[in-house]
Amino acid sequence: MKRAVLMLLSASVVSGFLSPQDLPVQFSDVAERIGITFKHENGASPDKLLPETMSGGVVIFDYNNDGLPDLFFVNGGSFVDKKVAANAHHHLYRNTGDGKFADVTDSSGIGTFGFGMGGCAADYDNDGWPDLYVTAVGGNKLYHNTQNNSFADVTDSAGVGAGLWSASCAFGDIDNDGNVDLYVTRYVDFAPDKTKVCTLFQDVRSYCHPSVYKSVPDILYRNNGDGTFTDVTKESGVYKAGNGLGVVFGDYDDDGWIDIYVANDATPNFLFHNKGKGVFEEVGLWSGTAVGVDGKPLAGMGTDMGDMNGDGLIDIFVTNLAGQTHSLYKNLGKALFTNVTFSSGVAEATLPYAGWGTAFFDYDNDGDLDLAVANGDVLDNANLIRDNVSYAQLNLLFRNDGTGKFVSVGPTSGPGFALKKASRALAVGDLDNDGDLDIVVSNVGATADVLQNEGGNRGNSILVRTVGTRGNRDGIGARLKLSVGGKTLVRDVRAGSSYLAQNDLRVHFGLGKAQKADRMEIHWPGGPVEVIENIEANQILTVRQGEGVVGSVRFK
Amino acid sequence: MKRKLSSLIILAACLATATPVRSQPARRGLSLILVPTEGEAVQLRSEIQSGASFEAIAISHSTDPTAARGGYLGIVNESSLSRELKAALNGLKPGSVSAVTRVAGGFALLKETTAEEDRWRTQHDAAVMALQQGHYTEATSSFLVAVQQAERFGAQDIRLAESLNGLAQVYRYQLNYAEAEPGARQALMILEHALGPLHSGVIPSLVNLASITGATGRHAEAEQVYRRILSLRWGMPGGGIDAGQVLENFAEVLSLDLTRDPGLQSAVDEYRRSLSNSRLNRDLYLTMRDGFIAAQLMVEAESLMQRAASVYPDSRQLEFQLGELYAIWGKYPKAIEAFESAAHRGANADPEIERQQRSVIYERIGEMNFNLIRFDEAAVALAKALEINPASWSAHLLLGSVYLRRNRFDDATAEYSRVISVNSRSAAAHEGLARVALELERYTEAATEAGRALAIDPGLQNARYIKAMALIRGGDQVEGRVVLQDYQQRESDLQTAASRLAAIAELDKTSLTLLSEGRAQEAIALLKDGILKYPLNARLYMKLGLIQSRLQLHRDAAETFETMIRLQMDDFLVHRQLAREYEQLGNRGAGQQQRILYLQRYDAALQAKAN
Repeated sequence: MKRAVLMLLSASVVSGFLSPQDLPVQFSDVAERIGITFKHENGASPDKLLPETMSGGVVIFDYNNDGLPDLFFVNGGSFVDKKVAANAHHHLYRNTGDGKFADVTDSSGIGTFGFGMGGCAADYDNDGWPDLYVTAVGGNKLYHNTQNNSFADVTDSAGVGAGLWSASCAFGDIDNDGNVDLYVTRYVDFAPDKTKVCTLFQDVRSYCHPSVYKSVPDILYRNNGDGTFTDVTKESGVYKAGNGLGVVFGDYDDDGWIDIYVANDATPNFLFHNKGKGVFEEVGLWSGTAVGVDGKPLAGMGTDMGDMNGDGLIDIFVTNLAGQTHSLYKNLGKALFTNVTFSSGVAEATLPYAGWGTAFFDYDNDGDLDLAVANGDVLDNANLIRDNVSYAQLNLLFRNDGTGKFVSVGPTSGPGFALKKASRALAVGDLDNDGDLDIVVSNVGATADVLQNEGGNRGNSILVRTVGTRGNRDGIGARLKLSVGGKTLVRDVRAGSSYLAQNDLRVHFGLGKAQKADRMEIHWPGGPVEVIENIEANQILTVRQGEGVVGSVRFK
Repeated sequence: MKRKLSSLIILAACLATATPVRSQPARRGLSLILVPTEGEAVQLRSEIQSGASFEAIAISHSTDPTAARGGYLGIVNESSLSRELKAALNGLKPGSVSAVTRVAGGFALLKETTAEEDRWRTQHDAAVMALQQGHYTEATSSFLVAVQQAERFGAQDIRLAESLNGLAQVYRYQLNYAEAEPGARQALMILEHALGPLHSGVIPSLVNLASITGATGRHAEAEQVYRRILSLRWGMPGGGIDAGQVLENFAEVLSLDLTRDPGLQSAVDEYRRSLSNSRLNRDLYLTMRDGFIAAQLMVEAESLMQRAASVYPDSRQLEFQLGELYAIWGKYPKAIEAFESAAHRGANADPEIERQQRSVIYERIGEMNFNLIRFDEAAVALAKALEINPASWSAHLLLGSVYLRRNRFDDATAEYSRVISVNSRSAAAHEGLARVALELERYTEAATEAGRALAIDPGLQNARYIKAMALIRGGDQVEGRVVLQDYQQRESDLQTAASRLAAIAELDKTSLTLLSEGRAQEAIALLKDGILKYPLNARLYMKLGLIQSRLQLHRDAAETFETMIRLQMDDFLVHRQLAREYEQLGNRGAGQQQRILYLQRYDAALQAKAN
């Protein structure tokens, strides 16, 4: 059937009925072909321990600085079987540049510990090499890049073990001191030896709702600049108990200080407004981003920020449970948002799905931020209580018409969006450096998917890698504004978003048919603003703070 | 969906007076039998003319609400009757039966009552009124007179039984069982003779007898009578397995389910077997359904309603209630199927009732589609509901919400405004207008409308949230902050209440887990702690008592159930269980007393639900 559709499409091109530009972009799962054999171990047990259904992160980062994005998958483990737990390794895959990945876990120095959840990566010590933070139930780990294709556990000396049940993490420079700080969400006060018993009707054991546990506050670590961190949760103003699952840094009010948005499960989401120098005030309810259209908290899981309607203001998307719709908040300016879930077209398509990882990304290079969502029910026996529901669900792809109206296009976007799994983390990045964004999805208790973008690069694009000198080394928090064809595209450098995941740090701009962009402003965290003009399309640019473009490579 | 009185009855009720007015020929005492088919009417008329009691026939066969009163309509102003009925009464003499007459709702037989019959009815009704008002002395003397009057109709006349029952009841209330019992037994004999022993019309006598025998220590007999009441009230003639047995099995399932007893599955199987071989009163299916829903036994509730629908294949109400079950369950597509099926079942003969029922059905279909975010389908269903019944304000409100979701703000405003034009105190309509205004960035208007909604219903948190957002976005940050703080405080209060319920539910589940792991003593300790924290929670007490019973700690279990009774937390299951504990402790008498209370409470609970 797929073959028939593709043949029909090809025939249409030949006949001139459809031009190549009009063909829908297709995504295909190439994981196995390219050497990604990671299979998540969730240690599913009859006791239905909640982390079993929540785990599985993915990080896209270039750990060896060769310009090729590598992949890191966070594994789960087992609370009941020590052997399974011991064999549940996280996996690091090196991008070999020829369309393949090599599993370099054994030599990576990344161990097995706890029950893994997610991860994020950034050069926290500004030595030029990205480091890795991995979250888990029972204690997290910070791995320092040894510059020798491996990592060393520096958790204790850095002071970032966290403890309890951590979920997503993200790096961002809250005080513009040039060192990225670390925000870690924490979920509930679960402990494997004190688990609650939850049942569906008729005594069928099921995973618990988070409300049976106590909420716990997240943690904010300030980077001291000397390889250590300090827990500044209370003094920074972010000490607030919620069921934190997703986190993203973003300067929503464009005042030069990075803010933090946290998706909480069954409690109001948090929007921490940075008042300056890393002192925050929680304004979720005030800003209109805390709850759903009916004023009630939803099951916030994953989140991302992006300028979805091209007005220069960054908007917020949050994934929720089936039956709730995922939420889209449009930035009105003046630090206020309005819920446009229904008017945007997102509501109807997302209602049947439990959403987790998500990303704003321009998959078709037309300059608008589209949306991808990883879905999968929480309950592996959901079909017992709701009709037409299954643990494994389709993922969603939404195309943006440029004004913030979204159309669900998954069914016509190739076999990659016909896969049905219990998906969790989702990250986007240009894995093959061909100018369009691919998608990586981690699935509970199943193999991961790498959805290769075929056709997105029929439109032009550029990728920008930022290198800070006065600011943090990765340029995390930098805001890039690209002027092309009369439009201004706003994108941020972000380390951590979605659910348990991190996207390719390089900033992607779709240019459509434009052969070049007129101008790019780079608003470095803490200043200054630099301008680059007349940027040719279809290349990967490296921009160093204070020096402009220091490197460019054509897309493959 | 209760059946309305026929237009005839409404008319009669309006015109009936307390005293018969015989001097004005335009007013006549009338009784009515209403049946669905002409053939049945003809047959019944023939029986009456052959000597059968009109009143007994009315009780057994009439579908009119006057059936329970032997068909008595009261004193009616003849000029107010329909043309058909006037024609039927033409030439009719007191005491005689009219020809079969076609009316709205079926076919009628009319009887002009005699002055004596009217007098008896007036006397009897006055006695009933005195009884209801607690004027027992007055009621006693009134019933005595009524009995004397009814005796003139014949020793087997059903009206005599009615008055004898009333007299027995008032004696019973005065604890004068010696006087009460003979009349109750005589009434029962008359009723059994006139209606048959399996007719629910004998229940009033049985209620008297059960109470009398129970109060006078004849517990075994009282228990039998109560069981008979349950069977008669909740079963249907020719129904296979006795309704009382089904109810006993149902109680067993509910009881065992509370502690997930190992015997639960076989109790469920037994219940299902008895259910599939019985034919029950329609209301009982619904009441048992509600019991299963409360116990979260949704699959059993579904299977029960499917059985009900098969027993009454033409019953629109049962099919509709199956849909309601699915709606509660969150299975909206199935709810829609059931509602659509209900729309095509058992059309009501009364056009007004038919109209209202169909409108409600389509409105529910609209609501289910709305929940599924199938707005086009929701709009179609709601439009149909409104086409049938333009005055359905809930349909207008829901349609407004559909338009709002579709960004058809003018249409949404029109719907909400329509509701307000008829009912200015519709908080939901004001909230709807507030939401529209917020979407359109008309912040002052949004805040005003939300304020109106809150003035009518201060509990509307969504309206409060809208008001806060409107004030903040409109620039009134000070007031916005105040409203937002109020919203947060109320959310916190709601959360506290929810946490309390969640904590109780957790105690509940954990105790069951401990029990299943063989750690019963820990379960007991946990529940006792829970009771200290939540002293008025009946569920925790019940679980404690049942676990104690399972561990053969019958003295402790009995104390627990006795405490529940003292604290007025006793439903019928408490008495049922206490009866078992007393029996285990060798106290048969107390056990029997509790069984009687169990049966009494059970019947009362079922009746309360049905009403």
